[in-house]
Amino acid sequence: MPTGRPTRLAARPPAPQTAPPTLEARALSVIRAERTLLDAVDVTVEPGAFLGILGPNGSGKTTLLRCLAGALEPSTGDVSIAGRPLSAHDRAAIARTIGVVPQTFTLDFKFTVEEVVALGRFPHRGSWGRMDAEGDEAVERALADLSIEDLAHRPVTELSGGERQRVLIAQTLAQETPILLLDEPLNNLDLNHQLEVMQVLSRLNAEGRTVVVVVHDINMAAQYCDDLLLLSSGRVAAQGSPDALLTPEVLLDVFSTRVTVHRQGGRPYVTPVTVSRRRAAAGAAGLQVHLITGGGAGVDILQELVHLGFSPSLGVVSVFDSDYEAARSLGLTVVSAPPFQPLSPETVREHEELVSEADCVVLAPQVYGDGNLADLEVAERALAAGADVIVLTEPPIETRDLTGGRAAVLQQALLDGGAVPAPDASSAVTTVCGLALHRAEATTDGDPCG
Amino acid sequence: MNPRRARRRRYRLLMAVLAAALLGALLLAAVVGAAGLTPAQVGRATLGLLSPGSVDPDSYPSWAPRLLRDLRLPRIVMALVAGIALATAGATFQGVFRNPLAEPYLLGVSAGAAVGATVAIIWRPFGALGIFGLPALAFLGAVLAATLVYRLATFAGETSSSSLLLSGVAVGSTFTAVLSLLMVATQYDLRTVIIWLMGGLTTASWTKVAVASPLVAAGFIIMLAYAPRLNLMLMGESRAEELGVDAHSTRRTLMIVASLTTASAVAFTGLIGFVGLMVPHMVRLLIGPDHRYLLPASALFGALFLLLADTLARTILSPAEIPVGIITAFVGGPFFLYLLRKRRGV
Repeated sequence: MPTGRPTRLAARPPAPQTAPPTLEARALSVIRAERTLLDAVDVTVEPGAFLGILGPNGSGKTTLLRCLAGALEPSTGDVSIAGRPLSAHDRAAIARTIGVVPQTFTLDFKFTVEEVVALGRFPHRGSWGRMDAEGDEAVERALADLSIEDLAHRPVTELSGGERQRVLIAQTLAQETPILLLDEPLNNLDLNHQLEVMQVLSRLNAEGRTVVVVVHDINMAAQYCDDLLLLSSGRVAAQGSPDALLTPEVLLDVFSTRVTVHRQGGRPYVTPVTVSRRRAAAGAAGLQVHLITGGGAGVDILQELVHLGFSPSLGVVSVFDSDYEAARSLGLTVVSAPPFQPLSPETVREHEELVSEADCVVLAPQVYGDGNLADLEVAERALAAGADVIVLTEPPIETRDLTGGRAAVLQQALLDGGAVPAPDASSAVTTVCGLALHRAEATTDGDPCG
Repeated sequence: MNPRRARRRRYRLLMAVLAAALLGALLLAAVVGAAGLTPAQVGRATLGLLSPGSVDPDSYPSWAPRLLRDLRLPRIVMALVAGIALATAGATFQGVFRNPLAEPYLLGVSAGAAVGATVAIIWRPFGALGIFGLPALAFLGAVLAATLVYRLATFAGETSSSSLLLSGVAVGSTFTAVLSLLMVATQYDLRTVIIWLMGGLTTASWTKVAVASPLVAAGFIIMLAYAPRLNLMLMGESRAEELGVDAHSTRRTLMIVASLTTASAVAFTGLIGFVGLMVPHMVRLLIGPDHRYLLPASALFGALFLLLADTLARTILSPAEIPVGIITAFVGGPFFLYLLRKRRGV
């Protein structure tokens, strides 16, 4: 190996001379011990794709990846590269085309990290394994890509799990294949190394390589992958861009988990609700929620919010409303008004003051008449002032608009202005939780006990 | 990248040291012995053998050249060949099983070879094959034992130490029982067979050397050719396949070849244990596990080790001799226990 090289990373690998071949699986089924692991899966991985495979445990992600790698013989169907079935290629030829990072790897013999990474050059070597300069460079680059140059001469048997994982990825990078298949490559890795791995993959993809990665972390997939494949019980549940795929409906369907989806850096960001609710409670105190309701329309939301540790304020409720009763019983701040009368300017002003203190305003699906139409205007001003406004859109506004369409116009204006629509109490609360969680994360940043 | 160069340098240094030590051991082995020849007599007799007339024939006993030519030298060469065979077979079995405790003797492969060889000795039809019948049947027995152990000990490509050792013990004992049965049933000269079983080089001859050496050499060359693939096999068969190795055929080839070299040694020297365990282990400690270097160094070290052990075996109770297998077991047994205790990262 040449020593005293001036710049360690001087040479980037040349982009593969030829575009990666298309990797294609047709009607792939895998049945083992009478269990159907994959059921008629069709996948086409175009050259240069960055495909993320997602799915619950046991949905067949690893099985699919192993089939694509030619490591597992499907029961029916076939996998082809460049239109020729994998079985028609010999092992070494496949290993020059497809690099695989398996989930685990054991090596109880005291090879150094560098030697282990150099084993990735096997398919390119002469028969007795002599390394050429090109091989040396590939090994050096792979070590640098995974930031394990410092470990190069340590015995691989003495590494931590995360370090071994990076060695395994480096070994596959040294293989320099146009197609990379990775099975949960982020396992055992700290967050910084997770990002590092995803960025390396991203760069290799930008250089023209095909990357297929099984990821557990939906958001990691959403951030980096251009295409997602959702597997569920061995079948393709959905396939498409992260934007199209990562919706609460699809994720509820596939993962049986309620989530909220925000957008972050132009990509969807998914927060699972069942996990976040408890943690949201911790942040609840920090998020002031105001519930605009009346006529009992907000009782569900109110109880759920209080249950989660929020102390929402309410307005404007009539003293006869069940909303009022509930709020009083919970000791919450309430703006109330006498029943059956239009809101007085004083009441509206008082309400507006309370709303201005809130970070988040939830508009319960109340029936609008002339008397409480001002509630919508208050919400609009809160939105303009920068609060998050959540509008319950069911039942449809038309069915509870007694103002001849003015309420509908105002609600539409709210939604157009950036208010978040929520079909039901549960999803409204979910969104509130998402906001609280964000706030909790923002305020506990750097707090080791966070 | 100095550490890598350092490893290569250490490899070359080790090979040089082993070669020098081997030379010394050769001289020592040629000189010492029950006959009581002096080094000077041995030297002169050797010269007399090489070019008659160059030395005064009266300067050494008249039987000395024949003793050297027909007894000592073939025995020395046989020790070298058997040492190479057992050490490289050990290194290869360890790689294939991904377990540093694998060894022809402990795996029962040697016992399998011994049964084959015994059949060849006592079963008349094989007399027709002459001296080749011995390694041929020993080879069949060894392959049978290796296959059995692999089948018994390996689940989904993984071999745990305990299942490996238990399978080895089970297969070994079964073959040993067959061996005993054969001996008793045919009333063959038990003492000869028992001495042979304990591992001995006493009956070495040039004919045996001539049959064993090409087999061991061929086996060693094939092992060496497979060394890079064997390195990848250490990560498990599925990982090896992902990196372009045909794992099944590699495993099969290497098991057959290691069985062949084992059988070549066992057929002519009986059961000599632990060489294949100790030698590769010590070499790995010095130069690492890369089979491209491990195999040649193990071959040299194995030759040196067995030659020294045999020299000790024929001098320690001189004029009586003890089977060399007893010496290797004396050293190897405790070594094995030590390895068993500190199993990790070899």
